Amino acid sequence: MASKSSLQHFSFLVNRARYDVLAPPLMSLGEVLREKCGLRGLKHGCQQGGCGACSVQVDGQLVPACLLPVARANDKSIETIEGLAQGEKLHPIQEAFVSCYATQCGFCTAGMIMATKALLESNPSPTREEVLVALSGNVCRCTGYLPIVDAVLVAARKARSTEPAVGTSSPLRQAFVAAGSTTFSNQSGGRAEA
Amino acid sequence: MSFPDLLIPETVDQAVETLSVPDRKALILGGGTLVQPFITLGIDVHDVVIDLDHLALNQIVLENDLVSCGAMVRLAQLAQALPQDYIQAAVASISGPAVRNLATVGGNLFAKPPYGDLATLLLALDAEVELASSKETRRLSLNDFYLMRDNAEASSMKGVLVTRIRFSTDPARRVVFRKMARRRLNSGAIVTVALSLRFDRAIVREARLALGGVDHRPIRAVSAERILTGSNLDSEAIASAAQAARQDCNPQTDAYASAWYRERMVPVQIRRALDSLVSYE
Repeated sequence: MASKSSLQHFSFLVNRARYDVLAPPLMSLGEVLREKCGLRGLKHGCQQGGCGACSVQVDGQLVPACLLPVARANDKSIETIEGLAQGEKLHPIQEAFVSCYATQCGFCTAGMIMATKALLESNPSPTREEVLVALSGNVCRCTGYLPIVDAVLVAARKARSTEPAVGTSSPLRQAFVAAGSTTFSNQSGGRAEA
Repeated sequence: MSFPDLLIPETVDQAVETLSVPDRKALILGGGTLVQPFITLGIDVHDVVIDLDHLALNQIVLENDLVSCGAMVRLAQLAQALPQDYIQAAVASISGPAVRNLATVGGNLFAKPPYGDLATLLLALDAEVELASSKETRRLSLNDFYLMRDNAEASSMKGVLVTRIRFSTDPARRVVFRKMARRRLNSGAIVTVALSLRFDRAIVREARLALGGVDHRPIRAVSAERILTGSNLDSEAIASAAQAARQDCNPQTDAYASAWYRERMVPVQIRRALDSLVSYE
């Protein structure tokens, strides 16, 4: 029989706010964030690192929160989906997900957006292939991924361009075209990713 | 929900001592990608979990072509340090980027099929593991380590800790890594083939062929290696080596593929791995 592990004190920053929690050291960070910190943006999916729904950044590194014992998050700085929007103002990645219809049920979205954030921090100009690789640990059962990949490319494009869009077409359309989108004008849809 | 106690040793000696305590079921926590799901779900209950994160085993030392890699080096860290295409391919074939930020090189040696792709490559590279125990520190080839683990009583392996993995990236060897899976990314192996050949002109002088996903651990396809050694990799040698490997493995059925299918994919994937070398020549 396992001895019932006693609660220990852990302290860390979540979205730059300090949290002090009492938890068993082997409780997963995901469970601590949801149940003890009240941050329910990340989702419990498979709980074994296979779905990406609980992805967060710990000291800037993307990790599945289900696989990190809270003891390893002690004194670290954690970023979750809750830290992205500024009040009512969405983060540009969130805006791109909205405008590209990159969410349906929304269960995977927090993880997808955190994986996107980590990607764009290390690679501001990803190719479509690099986006596929970066999101390969995040599972979506609704969208078929195409609008999500589009949203990442649109977000990257917008972050790079400081110039306001000109011309007859909308900024969103331009961003789509520049990102090599397959879904904006292609009504047939359903094209499988290579 | 009850959790095992977490022990955090600060030296390898302490870790080994902690592991060796009799009548106590200890689980080793490396990156956590294999172990944490069991802890969370409360299955396969252990008394204590021993964290290896504070033993300074997270360094990669490069000396010419020799790589000495701490057991706690993360997969993402290994791919950062080593540009070889076969290392890149093996690491990229494992899970997604977030898991690769946690999963360790040492832990991959203990991943059960259909996982353990890096271990399959390390077997083909004839990697050496450094084992620490209360009695001694010794080095053993990864192949011998697996054989010892297969044959030893579980109790005799208690208190033995893999601390480092050493291997050579000698460019004189030709190395191929191929993983066949249901999806191109983030999927368990149907068959993983890792091949390392040393040529003397057109003749194969040394052949190591490792297979993953087709037995209870990564294995060497020794029958195939015997046929390849001394051959000039003509189509006949390739075909017969590929077929011979079927008798070296003992595939199992899982959600990814049946044992029947895996066995039939073994020669196909070996042939493709060998063909890629021949066309390169």
